Amino acid sequence: MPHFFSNKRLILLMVGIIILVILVGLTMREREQATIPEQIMRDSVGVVQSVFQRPAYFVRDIYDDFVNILNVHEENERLKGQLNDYAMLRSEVDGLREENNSLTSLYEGMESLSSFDTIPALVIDRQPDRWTETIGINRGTQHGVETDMAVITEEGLIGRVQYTSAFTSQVQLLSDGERTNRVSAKVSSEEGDPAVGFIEGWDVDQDLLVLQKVDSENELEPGQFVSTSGLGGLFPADLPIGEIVDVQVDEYGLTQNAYIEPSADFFHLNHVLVIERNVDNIEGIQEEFLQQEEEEDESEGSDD
Amino acid sequence: MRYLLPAFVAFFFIIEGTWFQVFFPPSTEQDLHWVPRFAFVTVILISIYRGSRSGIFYGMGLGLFQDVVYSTVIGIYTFSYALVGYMAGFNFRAVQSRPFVVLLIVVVAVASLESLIYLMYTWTGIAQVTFEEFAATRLLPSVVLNGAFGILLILPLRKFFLMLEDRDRQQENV
Repeated sequence: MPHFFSNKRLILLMVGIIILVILVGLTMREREQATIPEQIMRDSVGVVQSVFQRPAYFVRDIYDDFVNILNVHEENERLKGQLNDYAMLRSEVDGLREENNSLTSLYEGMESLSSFDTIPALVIDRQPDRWTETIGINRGTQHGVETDMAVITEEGLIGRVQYTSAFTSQVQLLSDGERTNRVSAKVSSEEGDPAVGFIEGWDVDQDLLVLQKVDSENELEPGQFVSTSGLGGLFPADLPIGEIVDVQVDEYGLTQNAYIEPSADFFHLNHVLVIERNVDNIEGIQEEFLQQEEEEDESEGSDD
Repeated sequence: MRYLLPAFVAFFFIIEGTWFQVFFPPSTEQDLHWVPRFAFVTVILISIYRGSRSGIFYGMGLGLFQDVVYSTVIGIYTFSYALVGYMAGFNFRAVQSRPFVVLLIVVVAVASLESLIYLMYTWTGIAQVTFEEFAATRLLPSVVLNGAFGILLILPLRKFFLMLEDRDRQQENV
């Protein structure tokens, strides 16, 4: 610390702190879009990162394959056990598919809330300090990625696109603790309407996702599956999120919280899919929905 | 030769977010957060051997990239890397020729960086952990990991710095 407390340096430090406070204050809020210089920096670093990341995944895949070979016997036993259920499941699926086809044709060919296209992407980096949970992917606005799109792996939902630039984007994982990071989710039950709530935050002690604000009239049980509801935003319906492991009534007793074991592995991400919802369909469905409501209102009015 | 030093820092910066995350992925089983600060350790060594002026510039540049590429809030890393990079500038012969003293400075710098980041993230509301938890799950692993990296890096980098100095001197004489 040579001459640290001399006047000139102290003034510089003060100026530094003031600039820090201003910068942090400006960038803290949830912004819709990162600024152009930021985008350029991210894109140029992203190119180098992809160059680094591809051979790393190659080596990692070889290592994983090697470990898999060691476990192959155990896995074989387990799969044999599962195969017994397969035949039954298959006949059931055939039946359901037929039923579904006939019902959709009745519905005049309208596509559902869950139709979407996917954009495959490679994970090029992960936030190393882990105060915030974000990853970078090598697809950007040039490839059709937009802010708030859902990002999934084969196993389930992992997060949403937070910032986009031309060739890369930043994805906020579900495990990120930021307050604005929430997803509308539903718990499907065999009878009745699905229970709807919000995935809000990550329970650090148990390493589980928390589903909040579920009406306490709905009966939740461990083992039920949770998926996206498709209500609001760019998330289509029925993307798997996870499985309930614990249910608790919240502090006011009006709603309940469920703890969810995510079905996707948030720690071994290399290939992900960005989901582009078919927007025309959403509008179509909304119009249809509004029309139905109007008709209902009219019929109610005529009753009086 | 002149561009080798920034290239080193850039290389370690890229490694932190890519290779390290692929080969040592975090998992739910372990609570410890092993956060690599390899590029920062390199900046501290630059500050010790090349003077605190270099330290502040390299720190600011690296911090800006760290902020923009990996996080959403800009300023936190830019400020703390530059500040700690400047404070670590003990460029005396007596320090430079003793690797153990250099290592001690690196360890103290990493610890104060982590604490500074923790303080700022607490103020901005991004981090919501108690100091005890922070010390056990982040501070300690970070000091161990980056201290170990420092041990590997100090001697080869010292040779490189001595070579740079020789070159500078020759150029002055010519």
